[in-house]
Amino acid sequence: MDAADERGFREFVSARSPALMGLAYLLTGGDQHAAEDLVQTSLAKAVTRWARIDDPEAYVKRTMYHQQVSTWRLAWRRHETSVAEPPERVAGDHTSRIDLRLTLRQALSRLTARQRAVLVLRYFEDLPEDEIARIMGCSVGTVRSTAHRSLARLRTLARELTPTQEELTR
Amino acid sequence: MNEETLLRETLRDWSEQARVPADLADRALRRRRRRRWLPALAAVVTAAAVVTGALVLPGTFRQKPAPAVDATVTAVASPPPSDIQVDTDNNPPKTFIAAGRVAVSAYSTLSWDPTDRGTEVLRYHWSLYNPVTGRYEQADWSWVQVARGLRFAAVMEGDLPADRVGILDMTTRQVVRWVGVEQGAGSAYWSPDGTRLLVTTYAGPPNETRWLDKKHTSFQPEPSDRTGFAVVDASTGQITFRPVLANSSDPLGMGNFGRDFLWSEDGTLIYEFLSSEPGKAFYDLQGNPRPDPSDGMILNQEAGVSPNGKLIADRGQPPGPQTVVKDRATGKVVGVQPMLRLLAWADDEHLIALGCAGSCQNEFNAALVLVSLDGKEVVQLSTYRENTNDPDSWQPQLTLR
Repeated sequence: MDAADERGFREFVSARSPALMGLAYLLTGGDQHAAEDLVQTSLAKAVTRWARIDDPEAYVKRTMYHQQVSTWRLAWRRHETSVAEPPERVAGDHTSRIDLRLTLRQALSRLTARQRAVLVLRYFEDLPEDEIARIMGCSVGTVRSTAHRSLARLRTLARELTPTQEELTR
Repeated sequence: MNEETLLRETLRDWSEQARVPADLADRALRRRRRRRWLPALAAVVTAAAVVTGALVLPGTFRQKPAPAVDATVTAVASPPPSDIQVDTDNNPPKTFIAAGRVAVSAYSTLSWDPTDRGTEVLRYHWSLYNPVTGRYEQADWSWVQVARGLRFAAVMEGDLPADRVGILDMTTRQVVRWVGVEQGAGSAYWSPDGTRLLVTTYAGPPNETRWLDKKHTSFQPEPSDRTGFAVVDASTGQITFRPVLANSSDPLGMGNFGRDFLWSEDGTLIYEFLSSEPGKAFYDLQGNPRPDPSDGMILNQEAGVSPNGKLIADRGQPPGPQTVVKDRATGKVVGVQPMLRLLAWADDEHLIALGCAGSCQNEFNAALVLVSLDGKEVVQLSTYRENTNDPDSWQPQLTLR
């Protein structure tokens, strides 16, 4: 990487860091440190082929998805399966919007990396299904079924995690 | 609002919680340069793992083996947020309280539980911040100490002294490492850099006390069960125990009450409180007595020295409530605040303090507030606790984030 490339790389990182960190934060289920690691690793990969990359942001984001899903698959398997099942709860009638969002965050953090990635690509990045399929390296049908299953799992978790009215007012 | 909109809003809000490190480009470039050494390094690491018997830990620990709880690295590399988050609706708080570089990472209430020996033992009841939900959650741990960066906490379970100390991942709520303490752990404090734990060891319940009245105002000193201290390297779990006689520096003694060892400000020494002047006794990490490193500096407020090292918090003039901030070099007062106590520096110009309600008719009716150096700007962070002296009242644990 020559001086001009390095300057271009620094400008890109400076301009796009908030977006990349926001995305990494979601992909890692709200883990600041893991998100920093993810962005850092993906940027380091981009550095090695900077001169040949047409769309740096798309490249870094794609690397982040792959990295996160494969990291989860290999090393975090135990973490993924060891989360204790939340107790059964009855949904409160007056759950506020803020509470709902907090509950949703908690539910999102309990999805698998792949399930969460599909929802992030679809509802945060607003990507069409064929683009999601290209990034994730699967068919459009698989994207649809994964998104469907992810939403269903999210609903179940959210229902289980919704505090009762008694808990909300305690 | 439909499900899709709610999901979109949640994702957008949540993504905005991410802090953006200022040096991401530098990190990536450094990492690329380091990659050239990876094959050789990998061979060395593999050999070391065979010799020592590597432990399997989650990726975050394995990736940066040097400072275990690499909150330190991140705390330096990633500037702490400057935002203010308050919960002035709930007592005790339900949602995250933070200002500048400091957060309420956990809070506790106390109870004194009677024993069959006519004494009482102190028990903590903890609520711990969950970074995923942004809320405080009740925890069964008998000891909680959150490391700077709010990523890990030292925890103990069951009656104290405990036979092991755990390092809890605050996000996953899983203990990622247990460290056995055969001498019995009564307390565990993180070093200022978040890499080591100082564990005070006890042969019997720490703080076991024979109170002489129901209001717990006077007690009969009991012989201390403290046996020494241990320093734990959080990255490796290696523990080094040093015996220290309980009454070696304090022959009159504080009995068995409040005998925990604590870190000195820079983490090079440890100290214990004494019942008489000079008030503290310092030791090195081998347990040898050392002189007080503060060099005559008066540290009577928890906030201590400002982040830039130039200012120091001090008590004000009676009758109060009043606190002051002084120039550390000249001793000149640079600001006066109408506060009960200065607890921590949020940045070089603001402190987290205990502020009185109204005209301060009752000094124990107090709330956490953010106050400027000149005392004119005050932001309430928590509800007012009716009696901060009541064991049932929650006590915040303030941690650098």
